[in-house]
Amino acid sequence: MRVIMHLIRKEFLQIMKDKPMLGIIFIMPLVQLFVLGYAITTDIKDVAISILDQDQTPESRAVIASVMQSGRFVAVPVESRIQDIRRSLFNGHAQLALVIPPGFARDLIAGLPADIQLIIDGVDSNTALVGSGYARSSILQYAATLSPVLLPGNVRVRALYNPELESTFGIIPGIIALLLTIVTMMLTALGLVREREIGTLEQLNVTPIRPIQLVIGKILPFAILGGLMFALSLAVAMAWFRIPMRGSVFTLTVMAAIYLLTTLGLGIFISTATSTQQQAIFLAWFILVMSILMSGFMFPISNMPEALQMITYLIPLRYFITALRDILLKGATLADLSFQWEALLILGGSIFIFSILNFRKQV
Amino acid sequence: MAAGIEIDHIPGSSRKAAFRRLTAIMRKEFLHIQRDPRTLLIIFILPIVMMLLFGYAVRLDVKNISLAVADRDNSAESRQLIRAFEQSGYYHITRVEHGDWDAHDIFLSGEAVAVLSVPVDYGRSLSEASPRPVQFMTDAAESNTATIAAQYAQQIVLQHTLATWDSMGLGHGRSGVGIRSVILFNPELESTFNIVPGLVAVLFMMACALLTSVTIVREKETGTLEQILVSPVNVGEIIIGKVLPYVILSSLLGILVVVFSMHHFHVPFEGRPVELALFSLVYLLCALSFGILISTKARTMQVALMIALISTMLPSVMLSGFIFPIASMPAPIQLITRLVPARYYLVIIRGIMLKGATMSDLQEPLIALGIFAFVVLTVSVKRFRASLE
Amino acid sequence: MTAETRWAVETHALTKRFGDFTAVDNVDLQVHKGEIFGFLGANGAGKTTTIRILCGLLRATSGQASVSGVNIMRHPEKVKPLLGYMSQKFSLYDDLRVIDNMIFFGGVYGLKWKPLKQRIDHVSGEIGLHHLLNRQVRGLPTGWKQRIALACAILHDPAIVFLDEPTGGVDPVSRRQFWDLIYGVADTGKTVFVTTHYMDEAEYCHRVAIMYQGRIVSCDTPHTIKAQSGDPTLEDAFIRLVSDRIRQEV
Repeated sequence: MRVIMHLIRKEFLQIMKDKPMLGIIFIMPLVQLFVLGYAITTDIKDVAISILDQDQTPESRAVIASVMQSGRFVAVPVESRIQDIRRSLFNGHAQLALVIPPGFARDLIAGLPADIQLIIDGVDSNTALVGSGYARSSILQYAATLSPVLLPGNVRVRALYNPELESTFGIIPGIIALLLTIVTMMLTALGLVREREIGTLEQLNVTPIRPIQLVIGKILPFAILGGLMFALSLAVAMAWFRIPMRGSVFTLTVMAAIYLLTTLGLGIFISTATSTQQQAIFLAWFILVMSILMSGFMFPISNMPEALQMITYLIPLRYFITALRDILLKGATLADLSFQWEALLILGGSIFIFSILNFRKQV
Repeated sequence: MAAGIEIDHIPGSSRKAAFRRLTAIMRKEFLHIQRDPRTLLIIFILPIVMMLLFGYAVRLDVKNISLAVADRDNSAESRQLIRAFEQSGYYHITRVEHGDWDAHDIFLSGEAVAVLSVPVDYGRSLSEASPRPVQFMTDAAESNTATIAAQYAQQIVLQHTLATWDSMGLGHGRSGVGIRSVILFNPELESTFNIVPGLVAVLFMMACALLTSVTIVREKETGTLEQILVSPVNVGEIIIGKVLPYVILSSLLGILVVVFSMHHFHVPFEGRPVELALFSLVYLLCALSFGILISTKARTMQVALMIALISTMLPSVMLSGFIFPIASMPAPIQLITRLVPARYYLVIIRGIMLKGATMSDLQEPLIALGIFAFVVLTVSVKRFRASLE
Repeated sequence: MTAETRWAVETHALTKRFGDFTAVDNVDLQVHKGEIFGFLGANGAGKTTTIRILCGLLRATSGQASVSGVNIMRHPEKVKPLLGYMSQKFSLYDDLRVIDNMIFFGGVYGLKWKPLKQRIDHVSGEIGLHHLLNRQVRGLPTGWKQRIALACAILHDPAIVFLDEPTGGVDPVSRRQFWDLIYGVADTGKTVFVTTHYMDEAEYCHRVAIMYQGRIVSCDTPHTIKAQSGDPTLEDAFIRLVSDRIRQEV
């Protein structure tokens, strides 16, 4: 125990001396939380729409009004020729164009099919899909007002947990989970690799320290720092981004502790698999990219091909992000999250044990 | 590269000698790259792996929304409505019950992310032209899916209502608004068409800014930079010699990614490759200058890596419009994106590959990129020279 | 095996192979308690490998070895509290202060706080480090880093200290002073096992072993080695012994 205390003391002394490192641990996460919290938005807003009204009737203006009232579009200057419309889509000045052909109102009143044309820039497929969806809904809504019977709101939509549909509610817990992963995994890996590079690991190996003491002494400080950073980011998330905390602190702590087992284990694993800090950073980077893409953090797992979905079961972050979101937004308890903590315990436990066994005292 | 003038009178400073010196540095740089198979592997395998991952995993378009249905009406109309949901292709129905249940339990268990609840008497009220509203609940922890799911639901219900009335002769004549959609450039709405060009922008940043800064700092750390400096090589030659191999490497990478994406994901190439190559060089120049600039600030490889990751890689991914549309970001963040070169390069490469854009279409982003390259290159060369003295 | 206790280090047919390469080849060594034992050889002769085996950092392929009477093949962990080790790299945390390094390296041997403080005080007196205790290691001259590394290696009062090329890259004055310290350490009853390729340093040792391509070529007092080969200095003797070997091989 005394030996471990000395290891921890030394680790903290080093961290305190390392100003850039302190910055990386405490400032960087906050900056990322703010920038990414705002930048990563999967909402589609302010889609640039260019409008060509060749009909110029009250009806055509009503269609346009209905589209613009959705609040999802920003109109670029009205064009007068169809070539200009194509041009503005080509240049990227607009992503969507609404063309109301001449005779629209006439056909409508005559009871003939009256067509409206939507021209969509398909390059950004998501914006195209969602944006044209908004336009479609608005036009349909206009069409509904024309029907002889009054249509009361025919769908009552309730968005549970997040009635304002703030994308930050889903993104911020994801960023926090990711930051916890980065800080604990990176620091553990780099800390160990650095000791090997400067030779102090060898120096420690001639002492009577056991490997398990060494590992505990190395990872406990980072676990503590990770925990502090986690609490700090959560506080910011609640105070600034108004993320609710509907679950219990106990559930949160237990899940975070189980998850730390995984990230610290991965850190040790990286340190055993690499010999220089540069390699360690590359390997850590690779694991991070995989985690970001495959955890469902930004990209829904249900959209991925079957084979890729299978791989996501091996990504620990997947379980922790779900757990964190569910605890914060839905008030989930450990009983609700049994799949998550069981998976994390199995996955994290095996990573941790494997890494420690791999961490031979003999260099 | 004005430093060459200062040593003009020294023997061995002829153009031939300068060329030999340059090739010596480049040869050494290639040897470094070749000797380090792990890095080489990372440089060439990682992009392909990333492309496959991005190509398949990054799908923001929402399909397969899991839906639980509480059909309390169980009439012909309600079943038709449910079929309409099923046939829309957006939902996959995990469960249909005729009673009601707590959506919270369903969302917590993860069984579905949306619940459709059809009220009692829905069918009858519909035929009486005053339909009772259906209820649609979403798990909005993931707001994107929730928003889109609700939007689809509204459309489906509306269409179903109008169609039912039409078939009953109720809406005769006045609901004939039709929508014809034309999708340009990417008619199948493949997200890979959008992702792959973006990936090229990110990879160029990674290969150039990151590798350049790290390789220069490594020479500083090992002291070999000093060794090179005592030779008749001038600063310009050092920079070109160190940087050119990475330009070549990046170009190869870019070609690899583009060709692979055309074959594997059938991404089109509408424009002229020569133009893309030319404009890419401007962007590469930007990236390399960033790399040099970082190398003047960082003392260790670790710090160089960190700075490169945070100041070039991250913005290129997050703030360039690569995945997240800039228009949707808050105004201050949109201002920041103007400082991200990848933003302009993305417009260029997407324009050329997908839309067949030419130089005259791309003046705006080209000018922005050109200014960027000039400013950063000037500053970084100046800083680099100062950092050596 | 009681006879082992007479020796600080004893090896018998100690061999270490890395694949096809034999780094240490059938080495027999006996080092007396309390002596300064010099381990000479060219770069790559197998000195560092031998030391690393004796410190428990490497496992020998075959043979026997004991340090302070403890069989290191059988009880590699038991021997660790008994020895101190200083590597050629002076492995210190250079972002920490001198005192923090000493607290740490003493601490990991399990010393309690009070005795640890006393030992640090005592050792820094012996080595002459008192005025540096609160300085950061980074920025100190190499000569001082070397002394600090030595101080850290003897904090836990080991019976034997292994010094692996402790004077590399150090100026002649500092080297001389460092050897004074080594004598001081030996005077407190510790065995000092030191590798070097400075032949003038070898002259300070009680006994030396000359290693060449993994084998011990000669092992005796510097005086005897010189007498046997008829050379005026140990350097000449070393060169003669090694070139003889090379000639035999050719």
